[in-house]
Amino acid sequence: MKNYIKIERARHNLTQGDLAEKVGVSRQTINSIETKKYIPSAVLALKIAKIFNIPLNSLFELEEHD
Amino acid sequence: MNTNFLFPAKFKTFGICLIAVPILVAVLLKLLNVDVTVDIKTLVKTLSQALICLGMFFMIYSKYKDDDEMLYMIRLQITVQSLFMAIIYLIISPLIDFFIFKDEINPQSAIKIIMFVLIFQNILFHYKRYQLKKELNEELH
Repeated sequence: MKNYIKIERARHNLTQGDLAEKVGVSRQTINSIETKKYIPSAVLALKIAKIFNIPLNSLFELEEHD
Repeated sequence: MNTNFLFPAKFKTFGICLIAVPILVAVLLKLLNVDVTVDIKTLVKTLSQALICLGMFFMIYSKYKDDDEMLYMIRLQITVQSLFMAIIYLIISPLIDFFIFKDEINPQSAIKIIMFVLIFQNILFHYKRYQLKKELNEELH
């Protein structure tokens, strides 16, 4: 699953640590989501989308093999 | 709503102590050359194995400071993998005993299999945590 967290993070001038703190997870988790090694739960995905104030489908996108 | 149950962080230290006690007792018995009956020996061995299992269980299923949904998911994946490994162990171990060591086939004891599963889970869990930290450090540099 493709995601635009890194881009949104840069737009909002947030570090991985800042975002992790805001959504209540570890920095490793944010890093793993950005590098597509971990797919977040619906709750976490919604929390991240809320921080960036954008709809969920603008932040996550299904790929062909999904 | 958090439905992921884990023991409090203190249980990790408690788990380490539970593992250390039987090891210390075994070392002391060996060093002091205490002569005990076979029944006592069996009792000590059974209790030690049970304490070690409980200790390892607490070590993996207690909260870590970086605990979150990803680490919980890793725990679940490892649990499934270890169950698969236990089944392989259950099939292969008697065959190795019979064909390589020319021993008779005995039924596997539950504590041996549970211990195998918990050792496998602990090694894999800590290795995955180490890998995640390493990846994060590489990303930063």
